[in-house]
Amino acid sequence: MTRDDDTDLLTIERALEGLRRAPDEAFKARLRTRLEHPPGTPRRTARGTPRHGLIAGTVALAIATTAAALVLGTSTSTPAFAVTENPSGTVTVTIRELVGVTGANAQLARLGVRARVASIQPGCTPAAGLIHVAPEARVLLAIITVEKNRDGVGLTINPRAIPPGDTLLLTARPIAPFKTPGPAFGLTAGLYRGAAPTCST
Amino acid sequence: MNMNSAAASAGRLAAARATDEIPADFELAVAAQSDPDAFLCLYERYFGRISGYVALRIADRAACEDVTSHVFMTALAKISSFRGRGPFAAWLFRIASNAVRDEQRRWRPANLSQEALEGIVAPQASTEQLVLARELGSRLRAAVAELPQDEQHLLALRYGAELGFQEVATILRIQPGAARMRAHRTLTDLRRRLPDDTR
Repeated sequence: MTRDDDTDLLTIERALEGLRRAPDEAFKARLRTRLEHPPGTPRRTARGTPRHGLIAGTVALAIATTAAALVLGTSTSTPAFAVTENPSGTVTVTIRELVGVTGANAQLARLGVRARVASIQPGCTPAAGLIHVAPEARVLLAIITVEKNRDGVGLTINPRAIPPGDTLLLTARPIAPFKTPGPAFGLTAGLYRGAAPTCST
Repeated sequence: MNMNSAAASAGRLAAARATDEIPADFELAVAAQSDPDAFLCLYERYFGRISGYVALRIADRAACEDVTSHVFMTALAKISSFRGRGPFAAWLFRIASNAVRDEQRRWRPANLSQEALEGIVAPQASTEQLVLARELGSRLRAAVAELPQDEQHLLALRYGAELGFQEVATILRIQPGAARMRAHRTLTDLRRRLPDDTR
């Protein structure tokens, strides 16, 4: 064990400690109230734990931090961003590489879908005037579903679920490959009003 | 736990209250079987540790709150089954570990936190450093998630719940030296899993 090894481990220890969050006192108080007046034995549903309004403070959803380290193939035989209209009225945006956003946005606009795609590069300065709308997570869950398929990452959008006046903004940013070789990117999604970031490619 | 020991514990709790002595977890857990206030004392004592434990293993804030809620609601519902055969902390963290594992089994397509989103697109948070710092956090979480459940449990007890090695050892029913050694081994494994440029 060298001094560098020890330093590495210390760095990792500090980083692990950094993953903790400051206690959320509002959440703590809400949960305490529930414990004082328990509704009965908690039941975990097939879909997940009962939320009981505890996520009221959650104002945006995005797509898996961990799962967002999606490693893609490098084939160039299909468009980097492909937009497909489904018979159900939904639209699937399949992302293979972080180029060609303009074409995807043009296709979304042609289909009348209030959704934009932006590729976010490190150091990018988003456009002024972008106003983040704060929906509950379930609102966004009703709008998009995500799956990784052989062509890349498919984000299926239900245009009818986008609230009037809002725009769904999907962002993708390059991240260093994690373990598996090949390009990787992180994805986020949110509802916005105003112009999309200017740093799209 | 028989009726006599329960009565004795309740008596010790009453005595502790009368003398301002801080009651032990065991006394509180026994008393909580009939006294809701005793459970709330345990809640206050363990909220930070449980939420820290959960936060180390689950990235999404809403999911963390779900799981933390589930842990305490389950503990409240099952407190009457606490037999005191082991420390209360071990019992509670076992509930937490199971809840985290259940959560991890589900893939939520939408679980990036609000602050991560804003870190990328918010006008005031567009520096490269901010993005890179969050990338490190993401990679670290991804690496932790790849560890075996037992090792995740250990790391979360040590660095999420901020327990000392003595407490970790008590919960894991191993010697403190063994807990320290396992933690070191797990950190070494974690370092191996992280790309060079993140260290």
